[in-house]
Amino acid sequence: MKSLRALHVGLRLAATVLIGLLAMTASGVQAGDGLRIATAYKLMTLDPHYANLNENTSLLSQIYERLVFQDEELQLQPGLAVGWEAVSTTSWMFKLRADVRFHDGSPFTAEDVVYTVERIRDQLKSPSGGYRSYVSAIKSVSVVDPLAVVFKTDGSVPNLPLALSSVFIMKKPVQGFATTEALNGGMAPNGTGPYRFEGWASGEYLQLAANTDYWAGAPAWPDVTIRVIESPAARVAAITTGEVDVADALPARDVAALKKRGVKIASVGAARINFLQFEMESHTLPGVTDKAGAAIANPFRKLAVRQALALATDRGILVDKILAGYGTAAAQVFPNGLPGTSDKLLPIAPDVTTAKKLLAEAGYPDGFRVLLAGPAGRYPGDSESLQAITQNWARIGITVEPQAVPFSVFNTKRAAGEYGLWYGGASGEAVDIILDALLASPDKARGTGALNFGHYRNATFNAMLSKAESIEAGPVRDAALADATEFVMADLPIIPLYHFHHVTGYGPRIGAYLMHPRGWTTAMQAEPAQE
Amino acid sequence: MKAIVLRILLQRPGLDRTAGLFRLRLRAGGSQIVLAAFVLVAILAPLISPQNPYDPLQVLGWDASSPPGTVGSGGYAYILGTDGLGRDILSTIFYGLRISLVVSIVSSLAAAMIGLAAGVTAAYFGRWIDAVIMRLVDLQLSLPTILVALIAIVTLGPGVDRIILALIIVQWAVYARMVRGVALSETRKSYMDAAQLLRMPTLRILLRHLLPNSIAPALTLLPIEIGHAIALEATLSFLGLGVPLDKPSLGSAVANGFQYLMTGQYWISLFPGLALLCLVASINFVGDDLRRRLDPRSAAR
Repeated sequence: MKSLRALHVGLRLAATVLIGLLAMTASGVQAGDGLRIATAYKLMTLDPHYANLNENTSLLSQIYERLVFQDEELQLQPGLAVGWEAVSTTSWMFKLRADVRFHDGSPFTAEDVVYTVERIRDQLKSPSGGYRSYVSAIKSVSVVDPLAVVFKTDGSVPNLPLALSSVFIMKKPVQGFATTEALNGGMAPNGTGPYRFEGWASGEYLQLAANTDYWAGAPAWPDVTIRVIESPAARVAAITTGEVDVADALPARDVAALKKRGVKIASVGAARINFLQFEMESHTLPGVTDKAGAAIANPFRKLAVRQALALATDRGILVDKILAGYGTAAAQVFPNGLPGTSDKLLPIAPDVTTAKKLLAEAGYPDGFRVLLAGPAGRYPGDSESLQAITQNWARIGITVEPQAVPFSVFNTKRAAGEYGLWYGGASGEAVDIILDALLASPDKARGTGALNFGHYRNATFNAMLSKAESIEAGPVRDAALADATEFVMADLPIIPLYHFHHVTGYGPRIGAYLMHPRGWTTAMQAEPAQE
Repeated sequence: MKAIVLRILLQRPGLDRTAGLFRLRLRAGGSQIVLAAFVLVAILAPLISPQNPYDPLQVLGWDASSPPGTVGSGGYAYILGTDGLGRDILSTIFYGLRISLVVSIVSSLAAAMIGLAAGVTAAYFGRWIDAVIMRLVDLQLSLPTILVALIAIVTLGPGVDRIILALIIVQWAVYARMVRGVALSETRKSYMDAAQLLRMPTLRILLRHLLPNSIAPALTLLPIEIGHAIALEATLSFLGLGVPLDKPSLGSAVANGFQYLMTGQYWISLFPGLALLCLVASINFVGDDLRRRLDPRSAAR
């Protein structure tokens, strides 16, 4: 009994100390006249080549820079490189920016570019967090002079500049190479970006200070505190109370109430797509039966069935009701207007009568039953979309059993072929990268079809896409990509649903916040309010 | 002066007890009516609901998030509003009551039967059988209920039948412990000795003599445990581990509205939550009353 009481007192003491410590860390993170950001992006590493996810790249892009970067129109702009050109079909010359210094004071030179490419290609464990694909076509990279490098490629690689727009440049160490462990465990990240690293806790916060020597001039904020707040409701609360100046990934349904409380809202259509995808290779499918529950042949192999389902889907409800207007109905992989999109592809209005007719002609006058899988809480409106589609398709006699599971479970089961029909999402730098991953035939050697879990194969489309990808960046390439998209979307290997909008809220200390379609959140996007 | 006399009068034990009993009866009587109304609504749900919220053809997505009183495109009014997918909240409550009541009653009855069997067996045979059963009960009761239920659901998978199974797993131990205590004192009574001396078959002794005399505590426990089961089912559904997405129970209806709380669409969570509160409270009051009547120590018997 006595020992129990001692234990109880001990526990209470420990709890008090713990709360005190937490309060101290919290106050240590408070900033004076700096910028305070609440983000959903859970930064887990300081290694810029650890994993190619917005979670890492968005926040690290304040410390590290790329040779080229994508602007708000997804066009390439000079970053650490001031210019680039294809010298021959298999080599590219990049001219580097002069008078750029890393945060430790050392100059940026061609050696650092070579080191960065070799770190990803040769030293990190493949696939180098997904970065390997950007440099795999590079046969060699060599220093021409301190401010020029030449990339020799394996065959023609017209989109090498785009590939390099994902690669952060690191400082070449005196010897060896920086391991991920060293970068996460105390070695200060050394970049060329507008903000320098001050401190962090994995998955909790990142503290930055202005890099006053920045080549484009000192940045707007003297210091920046970024707090990882994973719960959307908590981010809404943080921006409402003025605890932070910027909060990203806000739920669209909360926007009206936030505006009423004086929070300003910025939004942009995301360079990404959410869609329904069919398994199109197997002849029988898990979770697909006739109305009596008997197994049937895979109905999704018939174009008429896919057309009927697309016609029965009411994207208006998804966009207006579920996303509260912060979404765009989709007919292709990127929102209309971005490079490589087709202006002929527009979302079709639902048409139940035609859909029913098509379904009957395909041999399913009474419809069928299907399990529709999807992740819960991964994308805005994901599990609600499953239920809205259940309602839509009931009108043409199709009984849908919606099943939303945690993303990790969904991902594993989808990869294992346990689903016949599912809701998915894809994003990327450009239209061709999404087409390559989502709709090109799965091919390990060529690196295509990584997201083509439905095993869609269309030789004509593959050829059109490859041809478009061999053209140098510009309007001709974009037109060829648009043609390929028009061709493949007529075959409906996926039903495009919507492009959700990235929604960010900001407080009175911010004058303007510039949204990026890739969904990044950085201090550079926040412009201080004029007093 | 008058007030003092009145107070003295009221302080007389007899009068006070009568008044107390009267209040008790009235409260129980009120909750019996409320409970009966809930059960009636659950049974008649398909007849009295304006909409079948489980039929995707009847739910109109374009009417999503309508405030209470809106007349929808179906021509009828959404008295308590609609949720984010266009389901009528009133109808969802009616249908959700069915799931809540069926799940809790079935699971509690099954758990009571298993608990009775286990408790009586443990008490009658004693020794290692008693030890094994009771350690199992101790082990289970030492773990938080919600944790056991969560583990059970994660292992068994989602679905109404799995929820019932999970609730049985959670509840049987409570009955087993209570019944074993009563049965143990019964085994020491002379009628049990008589039965054994007459060399009655063991099964007959268990079923005809020990069981009927040990059943009272299980019966008083039943309504309280039904209340617990409703709350637990609602908790599991709230956490997204319960009933299927498109067939909301009261718990998942509250969860559906939870994400809309900050938006001012209070009705999605509030009304199912109130229904849940009234249901569990009325069951608890009725259970309390039943316990008082059946408890041999209570003078109300």
